[in-house]
Amino acid sequence: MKLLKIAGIAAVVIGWLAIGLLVARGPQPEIIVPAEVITTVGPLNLTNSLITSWVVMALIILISLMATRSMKLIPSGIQNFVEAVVAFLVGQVEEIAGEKNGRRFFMVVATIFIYVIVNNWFGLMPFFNAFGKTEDVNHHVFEEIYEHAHDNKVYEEREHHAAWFMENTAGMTVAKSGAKAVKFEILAGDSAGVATDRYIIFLAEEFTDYEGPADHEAAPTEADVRAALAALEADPKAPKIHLVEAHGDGEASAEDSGHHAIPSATLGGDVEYIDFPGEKLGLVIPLFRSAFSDVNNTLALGIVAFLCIEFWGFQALGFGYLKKFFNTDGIMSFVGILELLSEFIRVISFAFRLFGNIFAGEVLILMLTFLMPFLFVDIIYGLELFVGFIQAAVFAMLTLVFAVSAVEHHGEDEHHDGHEGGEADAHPAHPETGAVQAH
Amino acid sequence: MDKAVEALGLNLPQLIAQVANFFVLLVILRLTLYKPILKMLDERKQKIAEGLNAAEIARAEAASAQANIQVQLDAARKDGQEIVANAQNIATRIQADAREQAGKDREAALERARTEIQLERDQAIAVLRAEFAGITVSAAEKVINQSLDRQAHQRIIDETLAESNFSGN
Repeated sequence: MKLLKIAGIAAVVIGWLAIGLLVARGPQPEIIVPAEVITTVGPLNLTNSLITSWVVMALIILISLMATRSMKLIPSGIQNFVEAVVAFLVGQVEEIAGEKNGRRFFMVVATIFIYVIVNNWFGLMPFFNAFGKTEDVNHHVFEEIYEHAHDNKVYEEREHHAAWFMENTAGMTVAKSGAKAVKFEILAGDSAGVATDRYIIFLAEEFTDYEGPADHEAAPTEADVRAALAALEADPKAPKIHLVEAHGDGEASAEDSGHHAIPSATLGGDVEYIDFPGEKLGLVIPLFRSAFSDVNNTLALGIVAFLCIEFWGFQALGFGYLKKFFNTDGIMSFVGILELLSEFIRVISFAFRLFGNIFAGEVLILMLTFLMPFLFVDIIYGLELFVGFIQAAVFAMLTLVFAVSAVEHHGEDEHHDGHEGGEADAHPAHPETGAVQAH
Repeated sequence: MDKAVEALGLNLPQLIAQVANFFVLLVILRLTLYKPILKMLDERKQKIAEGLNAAEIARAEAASAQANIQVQLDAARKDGQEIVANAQNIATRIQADAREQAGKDREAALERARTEIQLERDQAIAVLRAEFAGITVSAAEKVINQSLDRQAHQRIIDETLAESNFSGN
């Protein structure tokens, strides 16, 4: 009986996973570290992470407005919830920083916490990394080779372009379930012509049964490229390469006709354009991407924390604050320099702690939706909720602890425990006694 | 370094935009969230403290009122007991008085009755004596047939009566 039960559960789990693989499988993820640019406004790249952060800001402001629009002494509904959050944060901050400093630090620390946690949790919404603008990868590759050809440059380093087979490469779309990613590689040292040849062979390999040369590192020979062209011609659904015969200054004539043509190293002509009668090469540039999976945003927040901490330090101690870093007290002058360094290193550690956690979480979710949709992904979503909270709390609390240590007077007798870790550990105990007294 | 910056997508305008974002959010939340809510929390804290204070005062008042009532009750009970005791005393006295009075009245009535009886007997004896004297005289006249001085007769009769020691007693 028990065995039957276990077998039943196993069957359900396997069936569920199978259904997931059939209907809900994500496309093979193409991991791009920098946030994708949707459009540009002046000098500012409107990346998907920036758009997300604006949406989240609007959301936070909207909720706070709704909660505080008509406040009642006896709270209910959303006011109750928001008040509970604020009261919790005030309590935590005051417990660590004490009553007086707590109120001063509270707003920045709470804003960091709320901004980070809402971003992290909002980033787990299903439309993240799934819905967005499609990019025509063929066009992109073409333009890039053209630029190299135009400037007569060779590729300085290995470059790759990833793409999914897509029906359409225009407008907004949802990433196709289970789409297979293909990768086109250009090696370092390739000229534009070699890159074009590689591209033809790549297309033939992906769209037809054509098998390219075994040695991928070497530049393709004319025979290989001709064979690839023939294979592409034979298949009606495969892309068609449109060649223009070289006549001395083929490049110039191509430009005259309004087209960007790319030269081939072996064919003795230019590829004018490539026609895709069947499936196309495209990539979905997600419209939304968790704001803190972009290092710009985490670094900005780290800088904000740094600025606030230094501001509070000067505010509390005046220029005496600098004594912590610059003094002529023997060994302590060296420790001061280390302290100064650690102030700046904090920014980096702030930025990369948050970025690493959130980016890794995104990659994990994308990977698992591709490998094992349903079930396993749910567990990871749970984990990511937790990580999102912990990272928000860590960012806010570290800011608070550093702020507390910045506003504290550093008498001569305190210098012996002047290193950063000791401080971070030692300080919370301090104000807590103060808080106990305050109670 | 440049490579790292490019690989991570670091971009100064975006960095500045994000820093600005944060401060914008900070200022707006300060106005729309923190200030009103902190104010409300403080207000509520104060209200609760006041309420608790008022409750404390009310409880103290109730306790003192209770004590007051107790004292009054005690006093009333004592008064009541005194009144009852008094009343009982008075009742006892009245009873005793009444009993005494009744006794006296009875005595008086008895005395009066006795006196009346005595008086009536005396009168009856006097009448009887007078009648008896008349009867005796007439009887003696008849018997003796002698005309005697009436005064002498009377004297003889009285002497006889005195000798006969006839009295009402």
